[in-house]
Amino acid sequence: MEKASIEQAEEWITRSAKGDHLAFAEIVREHQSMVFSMAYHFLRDRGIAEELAQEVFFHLHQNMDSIKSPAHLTFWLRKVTSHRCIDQTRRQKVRPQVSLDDVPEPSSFSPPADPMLSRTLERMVTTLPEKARMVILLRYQEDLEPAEIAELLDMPVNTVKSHLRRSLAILRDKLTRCFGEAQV
Amino acid sequence: MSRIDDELKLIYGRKEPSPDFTARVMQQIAARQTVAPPVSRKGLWQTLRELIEIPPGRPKFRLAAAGFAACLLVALFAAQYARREAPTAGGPEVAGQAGAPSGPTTTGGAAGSEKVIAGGYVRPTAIPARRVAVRKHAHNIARSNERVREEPVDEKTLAEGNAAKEKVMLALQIASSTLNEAQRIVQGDSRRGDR
Repeated sequence: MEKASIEQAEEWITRSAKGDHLAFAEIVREHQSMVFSMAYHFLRDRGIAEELAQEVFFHLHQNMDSIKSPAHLTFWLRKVTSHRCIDQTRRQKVRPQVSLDDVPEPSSFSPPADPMLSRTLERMVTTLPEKARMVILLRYQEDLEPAEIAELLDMPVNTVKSHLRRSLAILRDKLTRCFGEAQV
Repeated sequence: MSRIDDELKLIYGRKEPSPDFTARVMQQIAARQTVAPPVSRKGLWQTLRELIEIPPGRPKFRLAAAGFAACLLVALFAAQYARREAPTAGGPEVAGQAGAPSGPTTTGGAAGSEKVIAGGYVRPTAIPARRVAVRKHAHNIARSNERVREEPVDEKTLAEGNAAKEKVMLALQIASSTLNEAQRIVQGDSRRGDR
């Protein structure tokens, strides 16, 4: 989907705040991919992710008056989605309750193909704690800097950096044990 | 950038929701807006009015009940008032005891407003007990003052009184001179300190 210009986005925000449903539909179309992707990557369930994304947009519709600019809108959506994802995981225990060390390693140590590496990495990421997982998600999906992630998740920048460093180290270590130095 | 970073970027690529996602969101918003009508809260007065309000053609039970409740309230209030005023019944008695030796003036003050009902029963009118007590206290003070004034003083007591008075005056003079001395010393110290 093509990105809307800033002027157009501002106009949609203004019109939505006045109750224009068509303008709000445009905002949903513009941001649905981001919100849904965050929810899907975090929850690993398409149905729950869609429901959560719908709830986020409904919440946005109720709070349209407080949105000041397109940048604020994106920030608001990221913040609400990340917090809701973490809440959802805690409430429904979607995340497998196993530690990273308990993830079974593949029995074969032959050099695997890339899809195998991706799948294993994906599975390993799901076993990280909620906050660490959200930090990884925001870093690699939304391409955000640690300072931006810190602002979104209401945590110190150093904690974000520490989460990133530790999570990557664990993942790298685990993958190295699985696939060998050359593959990772 | 290491391979793991590339892999993570690949894993976390954007995904699209189902094609009818926007339509469903808008449908949900519309549905929730129609389902949730504005909640009107009944005020206290409105509730009371509705409670008392009698629909046309209905027996006036509610009105009777309200009247009965009002009567009950009035009776309760009267009983409570009578209980609070009960100490006043002892008013004339107290006034009578206190006023008896001093003559009819005091007794008349407290009991002047009594009504004699047929049968010899004396019904007191409303004079608060507190006011009676204050009057009694003032009367006692006046009596003790009169007693002091009337008692004769002999020569010996007068001489003892005068001697005590002189002693007190002397003690006051000594205390005053000591205080003056102390003040002078303190002022002298402070001036020296300024210099």
